[in-house]
Formats: sequence, C-alpha cells, structure tokens
Amino acid sequence: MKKNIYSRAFVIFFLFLLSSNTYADPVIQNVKELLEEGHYVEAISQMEQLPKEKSLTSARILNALGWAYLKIGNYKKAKNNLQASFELAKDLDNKEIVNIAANNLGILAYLENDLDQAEKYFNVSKKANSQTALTYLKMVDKKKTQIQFQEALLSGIELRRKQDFKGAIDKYEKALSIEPNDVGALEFKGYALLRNHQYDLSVKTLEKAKILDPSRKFTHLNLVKAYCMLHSEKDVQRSIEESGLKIDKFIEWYNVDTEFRQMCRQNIYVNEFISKHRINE
Amino acid sequence: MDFVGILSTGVSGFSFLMLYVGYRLTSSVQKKILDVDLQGTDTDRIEVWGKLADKQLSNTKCFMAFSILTLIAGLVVLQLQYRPEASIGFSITPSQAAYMPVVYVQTNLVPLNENGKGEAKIKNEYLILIDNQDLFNALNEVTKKSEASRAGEKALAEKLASESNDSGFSGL
Repeated sequence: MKKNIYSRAFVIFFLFLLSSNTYADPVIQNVKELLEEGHYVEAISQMEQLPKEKSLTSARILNALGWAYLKIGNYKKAKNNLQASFELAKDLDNKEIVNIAANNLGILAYLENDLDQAEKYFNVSKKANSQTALTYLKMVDKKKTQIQFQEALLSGIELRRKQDFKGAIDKYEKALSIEPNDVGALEFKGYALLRNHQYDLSVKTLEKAKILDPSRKFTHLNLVKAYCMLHSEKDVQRSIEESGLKIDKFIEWYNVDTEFRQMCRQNIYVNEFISKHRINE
Repeated sequence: MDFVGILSTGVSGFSFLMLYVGYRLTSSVQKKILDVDLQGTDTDRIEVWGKLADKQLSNTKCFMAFSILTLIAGLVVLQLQYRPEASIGFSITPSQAAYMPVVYVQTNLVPLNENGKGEAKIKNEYLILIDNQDLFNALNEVTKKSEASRAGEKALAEKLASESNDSGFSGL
C-alpha cells in the first residue's frame, strides 16, 4: 500500500517536472512573451520552427499558433493549426486542450458565419461546462435568428418581383415574427398587401411603418395608393400633407408610376393638384 | 412661303430655294422676251438683243442645273443620315425603388416607375446610358458597415478570449 502511494507520488512529481520543463523551455517562454506583447508574426515564426511531436506541448503550441493566425486574420492557417491541436489533444485524451481548441475552432467558425460548425465545436466544450461555449452558443443563436430574418425578407422581395404577393406576405410575416418593428419589412408587407387587394391591412401596416420611420418616402406613396383604393379622400390628403414631401414629388410619381395613376385616378384631391400642375405647365 | 422653315431643313431646303429662285428668274426672262415688241426695231439691235436673251437663258439654265445637282446631293446626304425613330418600352431588373437606376437616352432623362419600367423614343445609333450610381453608393455603404461589424466582432471575440481561461492562448 505504502509502495503504491510512493509510486503514485513519483508519477505525479514526474509529470509536474515534465510540465515545469515544458514551461521552462526558453523558446516557449520567449513565444509567450512575444504573444503577450502582441508580436504575433514573430511568435508565429518561432512556433512554426518548433518540432511537431505527438505530445501535449505540441498540442498547446498548435493551439497558440492557430489563435495567433486568427489574430492576424489568416483564418485558413488558423483553422489548420487549431484543428491539428484539437485532434492531437483528443488522441492524448487531454480534455483541457480539447476544450480550448474546440472553443477556438468554434470562435473561428462563428467569425466566418459558419454557424452550424461553430455550434458543433461549442457543444463539445459545453459538456465541460465551458463559460465561453455557453456565451457563444447564445450568440450563435442570435446570429442564426438574424440570418433567418434576412432570408425571409429577401425571399419576400424575390416573390414580390415574381408578382406572387400572397407568398411575399407570408415571407414578410415570417421576417416580422423575428423583428416585429423592422420598418423595411413593414413597408414591403404593406405594399404586398396593397397589391393583394387587402387595403385595410395595408393601411394599418404602412401607418405603423410611417410612425417608426417617417423618412421612408415610398411608405408615404404606398399609403396614398392604399387610401385611394379605400376611396378615403381625407386620408389621401392627410397622408400627402403629413409625408413632409413636396407636392412636386407626388406629381413626378404620378407621371411615371402607372400604378399610382390607376389607383388614384378618381381621387378628387390628387386630380386637383395634378390639374393645377398641368394648367401651370 | 416659309423661307426659314425651308432653310431649317438643311442643304436640301437651301437647294430647293435656289431651284425656286432659278425658276422664277427663267420665267421672268421668258416673259420679258415674249413681251418685247420687235416691230420697228432694226436688225442689228434685234441680233444683239437675241444674243443677250440667249445668254441670259443659258445662265439661268446653268443655275437651275446646279441647283438640281445640289438638291440631289442634299437628298442623298439626308438619306444617308436618316435614322428611323422607334418608341421602346424597357424594364430594368431587379428593381428596388429606393435605388432606382437613372436612364438617359442621349442626354434626355427617361423616368422609370416603381417597378423599373420606362418608355423612350430612340433612333439608330442613339446612346442609352444606365447609371447605377445610387445602387453602388448603397452597396459601398453596406460593405463599409459590414467590414466595421466584422472588425468589431473579431475584436470582441479576441477580448472575450483574453479574459477567459478556456479559449484563445489559454493552455500555453
């Protein structure tokens, strides 16, 4: 029993000595200093010259090398070295380096917007309750949601161009379920509703967009069109007056926009200012 | 007769006017010849008068021939320069109302509607210019913002790593 304790103590002492020797290595010490001072290129140059062995020290060096490459923006080499460190640490069954390399690979994938890959790496270190992994997994989730919003919005625009207004409305609604107050999405949805003959809903959506951002001029134009379709004289006049745009802008739109002419042809207020303009011409 | 209008058509109009003047001249000379009372005029004077009238008529004919040549040349040039006019409708896609391109036919601005559609009258060899500067400016703005976001994101990732013990240079 006593002999067993001694032999264990010896092994621990030996490992400690080994690790102390590792850190005491003047080259590694120098690399550490260079990294702390921010001299990444010099540190990389020294680390690249170190022998690649199947050892824990090599795994640590490869991880530091990978992170240094990330720091200087060379993501390809960063990935290669971090991946090598991750694989080596896994072979050596060193959970500490596995988690560090996995986190670094996750961060790299996150920065490259490869979110599925990032999630995969962070899930590895999450098992070890890594705080970094937990923080980033939340950030990945947010970024994914933002990408879903953009994809829905762009799909809506694409469908609107193909005159599929129902499909476009569905996509805009999906986008708005993620970002309910996005003015662009509200404006696009309002227009799609207008083209889909849902004038009341169109007005409601566009009025909300107008309150959120009154500087978007096409919100005002589409609002005027929607009120024209609802035959609401007062609201047409109010929308034009509240737009803050000069009447000339509406005259210009009336001259080039067939849809505006068709929708507001019978509106008395619009006809009045168009007639006045023609007389003045 | 609208001389200014005729002259504004160019060489052919000018030639036509010259031809017209030549015709009037010939007709007036002919009238003068026919109106002269030859009775009681001596032979020598008739002979001199005849020669003068002949010369005058011949000059007028030459002038008219030259005018006809100029007119033909003018018409040929006009034909060579002729460009048929066509009215065209066009659509620029994908169109985004906020960043609509600006279209010029020669130097005339062609208005486009919200869907990127426009109409223009063009002739052969007319230049149509489509200016996407607004879109490129918007793209540049987006690129700038995106680059700034990427840089900010990287800086944040590095800061987080430097403060953690399970990422970045940890373990060295």
